[in-house]
Amino acid sequence: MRLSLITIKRRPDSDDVSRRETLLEGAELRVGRGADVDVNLPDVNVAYHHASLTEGSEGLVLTAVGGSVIEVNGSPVEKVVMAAGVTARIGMYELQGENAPDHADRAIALSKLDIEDVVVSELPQQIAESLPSRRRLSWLAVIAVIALFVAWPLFDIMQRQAPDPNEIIVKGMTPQTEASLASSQQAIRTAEAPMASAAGYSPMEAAWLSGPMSRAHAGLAEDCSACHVRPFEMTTNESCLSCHAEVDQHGDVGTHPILALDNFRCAACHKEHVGGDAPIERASTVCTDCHLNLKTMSPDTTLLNVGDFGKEHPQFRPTLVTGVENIDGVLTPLTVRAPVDAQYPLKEVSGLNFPHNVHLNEKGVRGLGRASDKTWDMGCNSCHVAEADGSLMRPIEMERDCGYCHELTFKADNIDVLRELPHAKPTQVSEIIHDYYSARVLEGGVKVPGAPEGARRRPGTKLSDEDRAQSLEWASQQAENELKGIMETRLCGDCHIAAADVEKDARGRTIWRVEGALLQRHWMPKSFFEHGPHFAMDCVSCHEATKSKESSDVLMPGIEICQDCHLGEQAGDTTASSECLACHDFHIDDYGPMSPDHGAAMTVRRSAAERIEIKREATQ
Amino acid sequence: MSAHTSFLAHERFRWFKRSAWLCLITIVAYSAYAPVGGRNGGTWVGYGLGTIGLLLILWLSWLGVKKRGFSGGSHTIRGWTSAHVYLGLSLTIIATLHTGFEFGWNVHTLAYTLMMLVILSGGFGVFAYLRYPAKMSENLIGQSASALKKEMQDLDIRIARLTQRLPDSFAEAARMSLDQTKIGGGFMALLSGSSKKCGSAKAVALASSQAETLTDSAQQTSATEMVASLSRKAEIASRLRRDLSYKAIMDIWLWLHVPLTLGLIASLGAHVFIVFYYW
Repeated sequence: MRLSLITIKRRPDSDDVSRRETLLEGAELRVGRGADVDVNLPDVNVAYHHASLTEGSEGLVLTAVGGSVIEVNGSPVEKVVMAAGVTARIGMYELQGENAPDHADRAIALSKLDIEDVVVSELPQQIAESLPSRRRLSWLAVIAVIALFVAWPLFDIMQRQAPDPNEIIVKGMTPQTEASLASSQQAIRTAEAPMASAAGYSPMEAAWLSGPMSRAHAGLAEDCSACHVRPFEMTTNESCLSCHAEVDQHGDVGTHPILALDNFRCAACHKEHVGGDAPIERASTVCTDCHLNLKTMSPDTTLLNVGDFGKEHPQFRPTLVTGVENIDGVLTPLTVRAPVDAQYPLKEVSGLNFPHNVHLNEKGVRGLGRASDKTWDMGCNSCHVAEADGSLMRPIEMERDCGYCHELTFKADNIDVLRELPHAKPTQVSEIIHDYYSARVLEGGVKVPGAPEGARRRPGTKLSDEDRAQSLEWASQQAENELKGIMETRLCGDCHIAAADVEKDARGRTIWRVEGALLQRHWMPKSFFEHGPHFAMDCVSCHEATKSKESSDVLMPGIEICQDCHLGEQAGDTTASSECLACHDFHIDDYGPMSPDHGAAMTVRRSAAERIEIKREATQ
Repeated sequence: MSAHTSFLAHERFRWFKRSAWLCLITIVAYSAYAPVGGRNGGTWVGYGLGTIGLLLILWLSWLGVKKRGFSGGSHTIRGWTSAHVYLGLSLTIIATLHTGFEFGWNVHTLAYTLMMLVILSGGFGVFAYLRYPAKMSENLIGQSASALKKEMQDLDIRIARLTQRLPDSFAEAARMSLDQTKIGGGFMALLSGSSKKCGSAKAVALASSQAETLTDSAQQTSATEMVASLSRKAEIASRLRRDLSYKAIMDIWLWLHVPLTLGLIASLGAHVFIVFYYW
């Protein structure tokens, strides 16, 4: 067989085609990669001896050798008749049957496929090709943030009823009673879960909170508009006062207009969204900003400058009672403020004769009256007991605190009957004593030496007018004598100063004046003190009662005693609290509400609420 | 200054010094001002720090956009990059002071977190740009990637030619090398730059083992040459893969840095809006 092999070459970038003919001779012509085969196809995908061309009955036959693959029309075949127009593919080469020319038996064209014809898949060389575009991701991030954190919550807010911006709302805050106050303070102390609130916000609104609400306002946590009334406007004092209508002024606004704090926002001191018990700033700078140099704020103030408690707080100036004045028929204690001074101990007029040292005698105190059976070991708490709230000591009451020993009983010489005398009522005492003696002489049978006939007569016998007058005269004399003893030495005079008036009353009896006790209840009324937290301390470590002989001694400690533990704010957190608010209030009782309008509105609301309650009670 | 000065050392650390001053001033302002209610973003110093932070973030983002647009002058690009890096780092202090160390599950802390992530990814970018350019030129032994690719193509032709004198098992090795020597590919392939599955490396093993069975000396010579060519190809492929992996590492952080920056700007807008909506 003579085979005409026409090698077709295309020039790059041109349609020119060159055909080169080679004549091959043999019964079987080998096709393959091998250098020594008849039709050389230099391609690694082609086997060394890939196929053979032989003369068959139908014409030129191309047969695959040893399992090699020949592709015809895209499908693998083992054998193909290479008639004119039939194309077979081996590797990167194409063989196409052609009509044989005269000088050959068969003809076949060989061509190499162009690069474009072979599917070359270039792999991605940059991660950009396998990742989503950064631009798209950026848009996604922007849209996600805006949709989740702005649009969603804002939509929820818009859905709700917006409050009328011009309305001053007095919210339904129940007037505080002892019980409600205690329970709310309890809630603050125990740090329980926030109170449930009526208005709830959507989950994404929670993401707007810049910080946790204080426990005092926990109930408002989900009602942002309770304080943030209008968008893009700072919270107003009206919002605060709508609940806290009766918060008191800092001082007398009449004499010190600056104290109205007109240009201050409540929120300047009361910072919310920082957690804690209540939005109350405890740092003393809030106070010392002005009080460190108060004259610059208010030139005519009588208050002393105050700085850090450890170093810059003035000495305590207890308010002392110096006497009593009758002002328009009202007895008013006269007071004066004087600083504690170790060299010049403070004295005040109490009207009482009470030596602390006698009552606190280490060897014990001899009992009186019904308590005279033994010697009593007395302590401070035998008389002084703290109030239930743990702050001040309850006021001393004679009957309760002194009366067990200092019994006010009257017992005449020769009778066994004890008579109770009332405390603080000298006129009644006088009546009782006179009545007793008068009754005794009118009864008769008095065996006291020196008693007149009428008084000594047998009981039940008649009394002549003359004897009667004589006996009553004698009884009155006895009573006056007895009263003098009671008033001046035995009972009243034991503790009080008692004096007889120069004038006598219409019946000729002596009028006794017993000086009442003026016990100061609150020596430092501009501050508060709590005995409760100081329970572990001895009373005498602050109040030097064991050495006090006079009732005029003022047993209030100086500031140095407090400063032993309360070292000042600058000393750090490890010491006892030393900030101003530990002992002083900012909003001071009795100066009136910060906002009269709100105070009035609250009063109206309360009285309305009370009327409703009364009506409810009446209908029940 | 030589052209080799790192952008970090630009103009004798000019931007480092400026950023350090900025940080120092903000720290002093923060420490000196002790307002009622404690230090946080709602005080005057807090507003000031927030404004500085916001303006810095916007300017740095703009720099990031602008930087890509600079056509000429490496000096300028270096300067801007230096400013971008140091001012960006100073934000960690300015924004942290702005928060007053108050964090929570809210949009405000979201903005802060996004900012820190942007800075962190940028930090990785700085690390990559300091570390990998040197590694890249070391890896390519001073040649360009395209020259190596050209060499690989030449090797392919040579290998194909050599198979004409060798048995089919060598063609199998050549095909393996041709088909399975993949450079580039998917995300993980690019990033890892691994040559474990390299067809050329496998082909080297196959051709070497086959070469031992040959008896014809001419074929042995061809086989030796083929093994050498395949080895060289495997080495080039491995270097090209590593080259792409370095490029991928130098690119990958941008997929965090850029979208997170846009997310940050959006959340900053939300932060400012919300803070003043509920003032």
